[in-house]
Amino acid sequence: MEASSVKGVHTPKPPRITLGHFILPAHHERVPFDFGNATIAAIVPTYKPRALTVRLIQALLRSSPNLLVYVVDDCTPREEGSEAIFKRIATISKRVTLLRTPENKLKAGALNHALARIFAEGRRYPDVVLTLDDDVVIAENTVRNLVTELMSSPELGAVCSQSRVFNKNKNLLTRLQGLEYLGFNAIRMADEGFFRGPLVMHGMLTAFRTCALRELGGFSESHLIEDYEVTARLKAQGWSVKSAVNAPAWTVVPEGLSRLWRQRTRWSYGGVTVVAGARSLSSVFQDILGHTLFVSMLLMIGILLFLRGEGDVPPYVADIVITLSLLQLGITYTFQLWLMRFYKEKDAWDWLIRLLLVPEFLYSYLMTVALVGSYFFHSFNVLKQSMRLRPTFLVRAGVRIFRACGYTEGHWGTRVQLPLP
Amino acid sequence: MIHFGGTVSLGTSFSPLGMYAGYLLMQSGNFWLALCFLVLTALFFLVSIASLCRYVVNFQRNKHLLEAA
Repeated sequence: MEASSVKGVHTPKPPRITLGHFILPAHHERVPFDFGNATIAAIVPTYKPRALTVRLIQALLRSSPNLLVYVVDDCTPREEGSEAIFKRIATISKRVTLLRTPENKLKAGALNHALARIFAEGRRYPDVVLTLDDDVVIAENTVRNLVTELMSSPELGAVCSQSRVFNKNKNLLTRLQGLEYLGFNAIRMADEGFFRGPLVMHGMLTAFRTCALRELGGFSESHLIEDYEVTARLKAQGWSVKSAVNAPAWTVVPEGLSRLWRQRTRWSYGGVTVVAGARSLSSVFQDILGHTLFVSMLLMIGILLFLRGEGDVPPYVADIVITLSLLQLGITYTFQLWLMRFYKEKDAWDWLIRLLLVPEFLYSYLMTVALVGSYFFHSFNVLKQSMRLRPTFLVRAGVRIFRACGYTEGHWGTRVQLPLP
Repeated sequence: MIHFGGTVSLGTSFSPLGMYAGYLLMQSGNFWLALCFLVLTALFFLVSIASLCRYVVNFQRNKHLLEAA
């Protein structure tokens, strides 16, 4: 692949996107890469860390002798429990640097805080920057496979891990999320080589090519979901992204409905704002397609509920619509069952949930409600800003209603306190 | 539940909604709306099939890594 120089860093020329990529995705050229020579910086932003964070740092250090860990404390209140864990982190190894943000900056701010330190250190920049959540569990080869996948293709700017659920056996909700994450991984594989790759290089564990991250100027601190936003900018710059199928990582998911709802309203509203603000439509193409089809469908059903026509619809039209929908359902269901072969943690309960179909339907409708709410919340905010509405009774009431439903532009946390197994 | 179509939960929401819409179409009887709906359903079906095709191609390309994992 040819490369052009932009301000001292190398951006690959964007691959030409053709209609053919809808079916036959672009293929990334591979070059030999020696993991032993790779220098890596792993950034772990943390707030009220737990024993799982210590375990993560130890696992990262074992992954490579050329890996430095930057733990960024995002202004954790000085509580007794956290203090002890920070002391423990500081003494794990000389390869661990403990930083603290001057004020609570959320994840993007904490990542930028560490990046500023890395880039200011004066020594050679690392080849790869890993960004992680502080409650992630990794396998022995996760970092090796992730970094090798990234550096083996010059056109890749980022590669994310496979996302799996650490606490999936806790209850029905966590099991549903485990099955959902299995689908996320499948979608990422389907999107490899399609419009420069999957939509989101998730925050739980992604490897970034350092020069690509420098070129972007780090993470945007004004977005609710920094991972989707940075992926969109990366793709807009011409970089491709993908997921590494042999790099698993486990995360702790919300165990209650309230936390899950807060997480998903943040994800869906954050996603809508990224799409609305995207400079390059091709970098968020899958979502544009998805939102367009979904909104069109909702509008159609809305119109159909109230409209009465002349009765001139040939019966076969309705038959085709129903047949296509049934066919769609059948294909999706068969594919879901086939996907179970890659769900290594599955047990009889997971099989039962999948076979029954109804729990997953109800779950996905809940996610759809969160999405529809995000449309309303986004429209409300756009209207408020564009018309420069004063905080009248109506505007304040609107803000309160949205806040009661879980939609705010402020700080959303979904942390789960989990003991180590 | 898998949902091809970006981060939008299409696959799950769409199928039952499509069936419901088909029922509504039979009731409403507006030809142009019915046609629009048919196009929309077909479009979504094509998007899903294309995504599946890409999955199969990428699965074949990554098979050696999957088996080694």
